[in-house]
Amino acid sequence: MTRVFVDTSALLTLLDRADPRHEAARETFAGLADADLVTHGYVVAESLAVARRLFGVDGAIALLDDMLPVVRLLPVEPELHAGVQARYRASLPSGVSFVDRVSFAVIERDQVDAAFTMDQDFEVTGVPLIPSLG
Amino acid sequence: MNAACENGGVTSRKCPLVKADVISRGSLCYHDNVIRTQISLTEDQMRRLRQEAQRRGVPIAAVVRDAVDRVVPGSAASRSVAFARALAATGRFDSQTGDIAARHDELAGEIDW
Repeated sequence: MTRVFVDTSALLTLLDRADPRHEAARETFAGLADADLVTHGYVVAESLAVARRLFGVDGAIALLDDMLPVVRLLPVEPELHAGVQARYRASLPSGVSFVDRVSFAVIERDQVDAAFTMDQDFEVTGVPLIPSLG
Repeated sequence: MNAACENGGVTSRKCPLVKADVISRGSLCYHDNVIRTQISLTEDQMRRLRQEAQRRGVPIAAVVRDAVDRVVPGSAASRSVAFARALAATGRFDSQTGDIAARHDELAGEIDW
């Protein structure tokens, strides 16, 4: 079973029909019915915060009730968190967010096959990005 | 060992988190939504499991749970219903700007968490 990491940008693009990449994201998502979709709690927190702010309570509910049930949550162990935190501190003022850095670490740790994202920063993980960001 | 575990029943009572509590005689005990059970592995499987847990920096149990999720995913029927629901939710909102995903880092920074 293919394991696909789901990023905040993918979740938000799926919800937002005004996003120019919405259709590409939707097509990609439709092809992932049999994939092991995974993410971690920081992506969920970030997605909920932005969706609620931009789309209101209904946006948060759509994520919670409709989207997230098909995405499996991977743990972020204290050791992983601490390691990322140290690297994030050392990288400042780099533009890569803390949540993204946690995602990179989770992708490496759990042998993810691809990342569903609209964020080119994920190229550093070395896994294929879908939909293609080229 | 917790008496409820020794009896081999299913219980919601807490059991101490010590290695000696691995349940014998195939009995089960729930602990925070996790069923404790005992399995037999070859030495080589155990060695590889330990190595992978060490590489990931997680407990051995986490690697086992991960492997189970890969090999035996949840029921196809319930997954199919859930996925159809997720697909139906796509495009439900209109940001007007279309740049929410691209600017989510910036937007997250503006939010009062």
